[in-house]
Amino acid sequence: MLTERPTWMTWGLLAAASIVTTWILSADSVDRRWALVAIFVVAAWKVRLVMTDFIELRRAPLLGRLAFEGWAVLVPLTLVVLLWQ
Amino acid sequence: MKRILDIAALGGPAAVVVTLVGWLIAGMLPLPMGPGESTPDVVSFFTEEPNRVMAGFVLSSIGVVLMIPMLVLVSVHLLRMEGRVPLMAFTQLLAAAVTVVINMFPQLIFAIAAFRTDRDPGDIVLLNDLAWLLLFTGITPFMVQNVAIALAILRDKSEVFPRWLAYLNLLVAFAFIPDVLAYFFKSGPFAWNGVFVFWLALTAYCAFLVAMSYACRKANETLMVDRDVVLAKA
Amino acid sequence: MSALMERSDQGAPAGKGSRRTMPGMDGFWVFVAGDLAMFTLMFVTFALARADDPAGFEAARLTLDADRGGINTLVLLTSSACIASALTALRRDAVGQARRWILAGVGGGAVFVVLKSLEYAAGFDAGHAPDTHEFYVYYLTLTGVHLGHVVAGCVLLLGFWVRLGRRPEGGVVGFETAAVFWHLVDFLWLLIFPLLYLAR
Repeated sequence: MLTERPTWMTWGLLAAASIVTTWILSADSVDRRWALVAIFVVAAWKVRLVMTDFIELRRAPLLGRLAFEGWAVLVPLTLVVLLWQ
Repeated sequence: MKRILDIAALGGPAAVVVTLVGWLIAGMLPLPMGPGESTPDVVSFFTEEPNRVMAGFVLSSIGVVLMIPMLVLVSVHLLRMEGRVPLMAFTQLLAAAVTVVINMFPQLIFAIAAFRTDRDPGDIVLLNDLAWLLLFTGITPFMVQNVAIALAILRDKSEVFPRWLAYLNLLVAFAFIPDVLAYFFKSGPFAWNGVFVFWLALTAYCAFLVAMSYACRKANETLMVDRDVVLAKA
Repeated sequence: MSALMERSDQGAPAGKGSRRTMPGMDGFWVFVAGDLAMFTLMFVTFALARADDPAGFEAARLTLDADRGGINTLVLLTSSACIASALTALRRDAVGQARRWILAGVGGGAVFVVLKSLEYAAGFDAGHAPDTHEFYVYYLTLTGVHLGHVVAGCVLLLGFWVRLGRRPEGGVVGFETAAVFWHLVDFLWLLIFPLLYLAR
């Protein structure tokens, strides 16, 4: 993506996603495993968004981007697997 | 002269290798005994083959001192950065001296625990606790050392040491913080043999010694340039 | 790798497009990577311990206040956006504006610290000590180490607020590094919160 998102638009996306996970996805009516996956997918997306937009990793060298954004994907994935049961 | 400096720089990795081999011989590695171990198990660790245990820990105590030349070399390079007011160079040197003592005495205490096989079991447990907790919870001198190195590098413009080394040192200091939790746990990841105490501190400390060795060897190359400049001026 | 280690204050473009180096001071990414490794270790040990005793961990999790945690998430995100705005302002040489954004960002950090302290106090009052269940050991360690990061970040940012007041000139790389740290603190919470408070 070549165009840069304004800071406060990024903030809006992050805040909206946080409200959805905290007060909707965590409700007991949602299936436990479904909620687990959804919560961590949203978390991974948010972490990556903070990295690319706030930390400006979007403009960093490819190797650095792969390492850190890869972490943002792998850690939530690992946690879902470990908490799946 | 560069040759002897390069040998001194190998002191850190040499200390890692010799100390860990000593621990393997003594039986402290691959999986160390935890604080929840029963008294008979602790006693048998030290008294079943006392000579092997003592030889292992004596070797470890020899390994520890191998790092001394490298730690001095670190201060030599810090001195080059700081010039006439070498506060961090001396802080590092003094802290390093204390860390060598903290690293060395527990090895001797472990060996002392194996010295008499007819010792009161309670005393062996005490010596074991003493050695473990001295080795892993006496972390503040290590942290002072790391922070002194980091500050010297961050304030320096001459790039004798690369800047990433400063951050690595801060990180190593961070990694030592959970060690104090060893007092509050007899099992699990925060006990003295747990992931956050034994393994994290060991990994961080070995990374510190190896990284400092690498950086010292790089810095040795520029030391010769410095000296040639001084000689040329004279 | 050597490209990553180049000094970033030389010709780091303020505009669009790719840059040669990682954000922040030369070498700071080593610190970030190591810090992430340590938090990863904590996350994984927590998840493994939870898998051993799902019922006990779930019961303990329910004693936490997810609403307060959610508010703290929003507070930190807002604070992060303030610091990102401060960096943008600083790049435009709008130092006064940048200092106001920094102060707002630190304010967010302070709110987080207060809310967390109240949470700890309430938890201890309710008798949720580390010796009652293993969950609280992980909870206190993870949030405690993170809270330490928040406090350190606040001190760092306040330092820049003071320095920019005294010496408005000078490069942005130093502040860029502090900003990277603050965003790191932010995104770590984005994982700690669901892991401890939300995952059932």
